[in-house]
Amino acid sequence: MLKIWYYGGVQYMKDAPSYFDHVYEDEWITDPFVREMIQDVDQSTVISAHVIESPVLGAITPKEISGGVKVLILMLKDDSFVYNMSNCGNNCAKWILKIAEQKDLTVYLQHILRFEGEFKIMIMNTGKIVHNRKEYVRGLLEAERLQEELQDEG
Amino acid sequence: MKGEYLFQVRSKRIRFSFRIRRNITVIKGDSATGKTTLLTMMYEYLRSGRESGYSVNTEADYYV
Repeated sequence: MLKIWYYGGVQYMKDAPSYFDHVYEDEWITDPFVREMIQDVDQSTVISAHVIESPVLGAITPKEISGGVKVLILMLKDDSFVYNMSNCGNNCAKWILKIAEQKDLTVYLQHILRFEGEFKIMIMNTGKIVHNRKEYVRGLLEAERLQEELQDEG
Repeated sequence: MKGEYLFQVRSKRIRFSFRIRRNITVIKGDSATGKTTLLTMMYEYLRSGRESGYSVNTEADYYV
């Protein structure tokens, strides 16, 4: 399940794309699921663990893939940190849900990322589980109000 | 800020062209749409000028 901390409540990785550059493993890049993510988000084809063909940049290394897809790969492969889902664009949202189908995934969020369709997401600030866009937006706004109250008290 | 500033940022493979009209302009978009690439090109040009292999054509002073 995807579990979201909204605007507080958890320590999170501040610069995941930089962290990725120093920790990624070759086998991550050639993983079939990762290949699909890179193809879909970056429109780029993994040739090998060290070479990716981008329609815009040409032949690039894994360090030059987009920040959003680096965060997706970390969410899938590295459970050392809570990652900031706001490093990802809306085109990453469906992949985040797919990763959360495979394992419990806890993330931090500081804007309303667009999820489509039906899903199951827990807003950790309130403990509520939301199932569609309307409930999700309401849930995040409620969490934001709660965070503001906590900050005022503190 | 008065008026507008045109920015033209180029490499051999990529060209960006946009106008800034406000004191604060937000560049947003999906992942892998060139936001970081644009910033990198502008930063490298500031650092090394033509030797970066990039060109930035604007009348504005800018910092990265």
